[in-house]
Amino acid sequence: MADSMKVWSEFIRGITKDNPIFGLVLGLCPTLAVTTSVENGIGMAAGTAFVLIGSNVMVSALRKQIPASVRLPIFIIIIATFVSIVDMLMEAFTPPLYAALGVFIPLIVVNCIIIGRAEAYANKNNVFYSLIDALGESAGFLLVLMLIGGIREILGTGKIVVFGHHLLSVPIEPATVMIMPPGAFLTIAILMAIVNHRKARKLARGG
Amino acid sequence: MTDSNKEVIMIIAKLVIISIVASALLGITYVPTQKQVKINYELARQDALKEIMPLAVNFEAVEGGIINDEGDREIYYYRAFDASGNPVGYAFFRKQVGAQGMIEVAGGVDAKFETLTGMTVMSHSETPGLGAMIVTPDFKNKFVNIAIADLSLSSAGGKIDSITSATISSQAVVDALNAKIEEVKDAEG
Amino acid sequence: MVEKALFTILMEGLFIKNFLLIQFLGLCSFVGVTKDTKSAAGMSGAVVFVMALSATVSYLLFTYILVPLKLEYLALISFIVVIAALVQLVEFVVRKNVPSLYRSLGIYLPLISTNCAVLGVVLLNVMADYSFSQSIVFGISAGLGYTIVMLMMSAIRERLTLVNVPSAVQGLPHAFFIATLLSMAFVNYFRVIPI
Repeated sequence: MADSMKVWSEFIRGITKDNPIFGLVLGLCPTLAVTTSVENGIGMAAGTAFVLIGSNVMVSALRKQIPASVRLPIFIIIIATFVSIVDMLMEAFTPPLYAALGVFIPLIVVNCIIIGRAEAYANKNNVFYSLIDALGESAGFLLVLMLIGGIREILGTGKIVVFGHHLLSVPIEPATVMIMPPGAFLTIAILMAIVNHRKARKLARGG
Repeated sequence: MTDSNKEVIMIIAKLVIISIVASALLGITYVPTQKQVKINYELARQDALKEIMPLAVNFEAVEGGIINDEGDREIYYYRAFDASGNPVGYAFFRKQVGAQGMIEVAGGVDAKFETLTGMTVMSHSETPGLGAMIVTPDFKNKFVNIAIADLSLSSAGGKIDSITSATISSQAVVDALNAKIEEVKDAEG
Repeated sequence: MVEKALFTILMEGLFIKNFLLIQFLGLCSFVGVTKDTKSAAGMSGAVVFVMALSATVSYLLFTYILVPLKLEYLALISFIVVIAALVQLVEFVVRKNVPSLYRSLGIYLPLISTNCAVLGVVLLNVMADYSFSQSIVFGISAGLGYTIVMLMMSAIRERLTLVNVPSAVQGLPHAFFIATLLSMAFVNYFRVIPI
């Protein structure tokens, strides 16, 4: 069972220690820009997950063929291909989401999470573990986007609506600033401070 | 041929192969998705026309010049007819600059240019929670069966209450409708 | 082509649609390279230069090669390749001809090919259907807007090194708190610009 333990730890690492936002601090732009609602966060995370899984698997499968000297251009071509595919698929099949996410779909191509994982993980590990790594990182990204989106949506509009379902509403006066750009900076500042605080406490306890 | 030359050729060959595979994949995805995009666009327009003019069953496009290679013509507006073929009014689409970007609205007006039958928003990039509220039923219902004379924001003496802190977006919708109604009126004489 | 005065595009690039504070493009460098004013200025100089250049080149590429050949679906790949190539070229030319400039900008150039602000300018130009002059004005003004915010941010952060803050807030959270205040200012003040 040691093997399945390792798979699980590789997966969970993407959510905790190597979380794309709070651990590795990669991919800040989409994290702040599209999290005006939970729904947009889920859409963005889904698009990024598709690209991340695709590129991790491709890079890992081709890693013995890719010459080291031109590996970055090749990674970029692989990633850009997957991003273009996501872009076209979302335009065709989820038009409202595509309209809401706008320029940030094609910008997945410069999301440092993807090229970062290709370079740091997929280039050195086999296809199976690269897939697990991509799944873990995607899950971590999804959770963070939903958390930030949720905080901003509930404080900014007083309710959470996901794909037409009214999930919950709170009787507060909506603070519109939360869905405007300053709200994004404020939310991530507070969340990062909390994460730092917990990390420091953990360190102080010796582990 | 020396080894280093061979290596360079291998590298270039691999780059070329990857680029060709990538473009081929994209081409394969492009064709069906573009078809779907066109279908979505047409469906959205049909739905919008029905929504803003519930009485009408037939819409006849008033066309202008050719706008692209496929020979599609620009559509100025639609003449709407009920089940027995009587004209009930005119429906139209119009783009207007909002607070963040373009807003495209659809509107319908009765045959005498006296009453607006309805309004809906086709696309926009307004701020969520503020300008984006123009798509809510609350806002759209304000435009159902309202006299053209009252089609302005309440701050300007009309009967449309602006969305709180989103005057620019609300104004853009009102302006778009008024401007296009004038155009259709002129065209129909 | 859309009808939009060049002045409007200039103001949008500088303030109203500021890349860093309103559109969230290029944030990695915003928190990464603003610890001191000198590196912020170096990075900004490199960004302005590359943005203006890639706005120009990508407009020509898109309008005169991709559109006539109906290869719009290759736009994203070709833009990213063009930007990466331009960055390499600029680095090469600057190192050869202006060594003094290279010493101050050089180390920031490689960072730029993965900077989403540069690709953002190019993509937004295409999405907005801008003409040649509009594209260039937007490219330059977005770069200058980026510079303004980078300099403000680094000046504030330099002075704030003297301030005691709780250890949990030090570093990135602190930078984001400053960004919150700056962003509030940008969102609200520049509504007065008459466009």
